[in-house]
Amino acid sequence: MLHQFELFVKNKDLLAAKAREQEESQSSATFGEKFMARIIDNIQISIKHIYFRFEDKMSGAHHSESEHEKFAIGVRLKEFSVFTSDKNFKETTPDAANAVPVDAKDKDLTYKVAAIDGFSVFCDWHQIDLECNGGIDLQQLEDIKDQADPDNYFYKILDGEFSMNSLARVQTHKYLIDGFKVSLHLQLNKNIKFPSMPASLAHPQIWAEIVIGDEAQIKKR
Amino acid sequence: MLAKVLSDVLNAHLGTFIEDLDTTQLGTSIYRGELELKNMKLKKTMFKDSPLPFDLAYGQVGRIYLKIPIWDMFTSPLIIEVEDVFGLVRMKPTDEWQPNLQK
Repeated sequence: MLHQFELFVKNKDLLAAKAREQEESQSSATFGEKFMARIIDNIQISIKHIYFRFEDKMSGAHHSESEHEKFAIGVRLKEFSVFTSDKNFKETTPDAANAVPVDAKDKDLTYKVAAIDGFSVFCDWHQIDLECNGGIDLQQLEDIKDQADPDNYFYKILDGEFSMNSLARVQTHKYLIDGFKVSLHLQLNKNIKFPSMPASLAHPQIWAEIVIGDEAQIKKR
Repeated sequence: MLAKVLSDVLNAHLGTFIEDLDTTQLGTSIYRGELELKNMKLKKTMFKDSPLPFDLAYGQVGRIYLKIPIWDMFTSPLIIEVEDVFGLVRMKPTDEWQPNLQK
């Protein structure tokens, strides 16, 4: 009897210690999780006007020795951005998003938008004219004196590529992909530790909606 | 002091891609967790040790802006902005190709 009682007490202590340990590890995890959640809430990424171009003199269509007879492949990205948004996926600041009164159900949700705009790939196998076909004069790039000058050749190239109207765009390059636009609407659930919650109330951890162009929509869970 | 340490770290990490990083533009704003770098030329030797038969003829990054609210991670936004990047890539001369080079 006494032996059994001793065992019982021992077990109880052990169990209590285990529970305490678990609690501690959980609370530290939640701090880390909260921190990560806040950072995910707050992060804003904006990447604009990226232009890479591959040129090759050997592969031109006419095999001529002309300096401007080149074969060029270019990749162009007007904008890539990640930002926090409101329920309707319109841009907002994280603070404003938090200030709006929401249902208890929505409290743990973060709405994020990741968008790519104006992604183009072109392949120019025709005669490239320096003046009007987006040709690059390397010497002029090397000769730039004032890097900060917004009118220098470097910015001219980028401006030329990104502020063309649609007619000029078609005349300048032969596109494989032109002006591709896609945005990802994300609903992130920051609180997923309630398995007992009814399924109708629970949100999935990540819910994504892919919008290609402006019209077609594919919804995904 | 902090600026010196930071510029050393940046030079060590970005030095492989970026030509003479001008650390004078770091300024005092780094104490507020802001970092802005402008008009950096990419190093032409970027592809030198790669098996790809490409050469960077010209590369430049117009602007990189980072805002990391060190003191205020929970409320202020963390901002990463990159603008105006242009790269012109060309074929390497055939005698410089190194198809067997492994990283």
